Amino acid sequence: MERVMMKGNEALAEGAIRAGCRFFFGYPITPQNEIPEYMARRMPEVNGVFLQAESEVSAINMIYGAGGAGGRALTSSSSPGISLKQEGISYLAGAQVPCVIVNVARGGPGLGGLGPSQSDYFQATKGGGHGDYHLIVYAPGTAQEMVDLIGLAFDKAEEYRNPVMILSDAIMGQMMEPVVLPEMREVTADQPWATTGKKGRAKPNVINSLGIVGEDLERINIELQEKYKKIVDNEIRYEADGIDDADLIVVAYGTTSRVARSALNMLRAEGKKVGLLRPITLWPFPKPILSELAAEGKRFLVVEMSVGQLVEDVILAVNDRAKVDFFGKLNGSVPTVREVYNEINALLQKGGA
Amino acid sequence: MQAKRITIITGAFGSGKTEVAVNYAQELKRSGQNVGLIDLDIVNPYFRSRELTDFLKQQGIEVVSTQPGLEMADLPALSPRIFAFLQNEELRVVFDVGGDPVGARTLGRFEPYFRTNGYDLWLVVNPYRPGYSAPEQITKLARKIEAATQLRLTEVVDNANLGRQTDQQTRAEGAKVVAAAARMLNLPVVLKTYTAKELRGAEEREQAGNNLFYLQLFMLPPWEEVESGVQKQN
Repeated sequence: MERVMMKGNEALAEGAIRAGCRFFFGYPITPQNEIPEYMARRMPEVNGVFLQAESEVSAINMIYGAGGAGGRALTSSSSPGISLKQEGISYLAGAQVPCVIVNVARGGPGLGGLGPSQSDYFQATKGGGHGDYHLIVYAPGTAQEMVDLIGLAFDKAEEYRNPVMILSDAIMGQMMEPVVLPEMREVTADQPWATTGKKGRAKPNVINSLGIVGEDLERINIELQEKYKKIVDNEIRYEADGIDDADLIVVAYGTTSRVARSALNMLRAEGKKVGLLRPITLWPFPKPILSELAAEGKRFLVVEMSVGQLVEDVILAVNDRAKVDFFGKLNGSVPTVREVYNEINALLQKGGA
Repeated sequence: MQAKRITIITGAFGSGKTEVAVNYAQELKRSGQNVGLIDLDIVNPYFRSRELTDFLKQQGIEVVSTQPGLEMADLPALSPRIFAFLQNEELRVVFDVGGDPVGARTLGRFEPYFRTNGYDLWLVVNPYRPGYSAPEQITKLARKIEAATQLRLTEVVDNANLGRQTDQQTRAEGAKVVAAAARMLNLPVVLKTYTAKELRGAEEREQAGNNLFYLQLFMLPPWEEVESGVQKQN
């Protein structure tokens, strides 16, 4: 077991390598540049491919090729670059190509700023490209989780033949924390569906999202929806901290969950009954636990670096059975521990629903 | 050893150069000197000393980086005021340089000043950063930084740490690696850093050896900044 100090971006890159990723295609953009930089140095050491494409559009289509051939392929970018990739992501979802896409989100809209942001939540969880599709979306909260979740992301991408997104942000990518790295894993690119030659089979494997003949498209969509249902039933992940006796539960992921946790620790030290529910999968969303907690009469505060995106999923899960408050920050600023502390205190003092 | 007027702080990406630079500038100020801090980091726009410009100004330390107003942009632009700092012979100057040889290359344009004024060139080392756990890896980096800057390293700073998981054992094990690298480079270890949670007692400090240097951490993520009272520009 090696312990090292790593930036979130570096931890994610090394975690990908150790999970068997041997193909990286990307294009530079702040604040994710440590990922391609790390990969450029590291991939040749493991006989992997690092390629800086001429654009984000090009990179995502290289992912289609490498993933379609059964390789563990990764691309990373930041918000505007992820927008450019959306057509390709829809194609990957439609053609069921396993791969991992990392968004180290920055402030938007447009070219925006370099600060952290959670305003790509809708884009990550509700489509972003065209068509009825879903990505599995993981939201790491520590550098260690960057390593752990990128490994899981590759496994789940392959298991479900579905693109997986890691939704990080500028702070998550740039902060440095101690990390324990796992052993290097050997993985095979030899998948029964991969386009690596017929090898004696009667029919060639085809990776395609086109459904233009007869009822092909409906059949493809039925298949996709059955898969998504399986993912919803089996892949929800969240962390619950002190929710059992809590009157008020903060719902937050990534950077804001860290800020909220510091605030909650201060409040608990004062004897306040407050807890944290941190979605680790943003899709599938931890709807059942929120629904349960709402039925128990808990109230919620959603803390986000956006004007309110995650909060919509919480409201849907709670379905009018509990009060949902919101504390958001516009892109360009980060909530402080003191602000979140004050917000929770004010809500507790207001009392009841 | 007589410290020179110009101290240049280099090291690998993420080795702790900014924390060392900011704390050392404050230490010089406390000893009664006029201090200017030059933030030369054009490699990465996060966790740079320029975020502390106002905070340090209140303590009488001038910070210069890029064109005023563009401090938080990721532009490879440097302010001409850097020359004013270098030409002021009453000023102790601390350079906080960008990471890796690529960051250190920026020093090249100031080379004539270093030649005439003399300089101390420090290599900040954290052997817990990936790729620097062996002395040979550290000496290789040192040679590359010297090649990129056309300058000679004069001292090594031991910043062995695992963030919040740092304890005396990790410091001690890290110190061995840094000391071995310093021996191979034939350079002294000028400072050994520690933070508030370690090495509290006088006895422990004595065991840890000379040159201990207390680091107040400034480059913290927002969830660790509770009541520090430090106003940063973001």
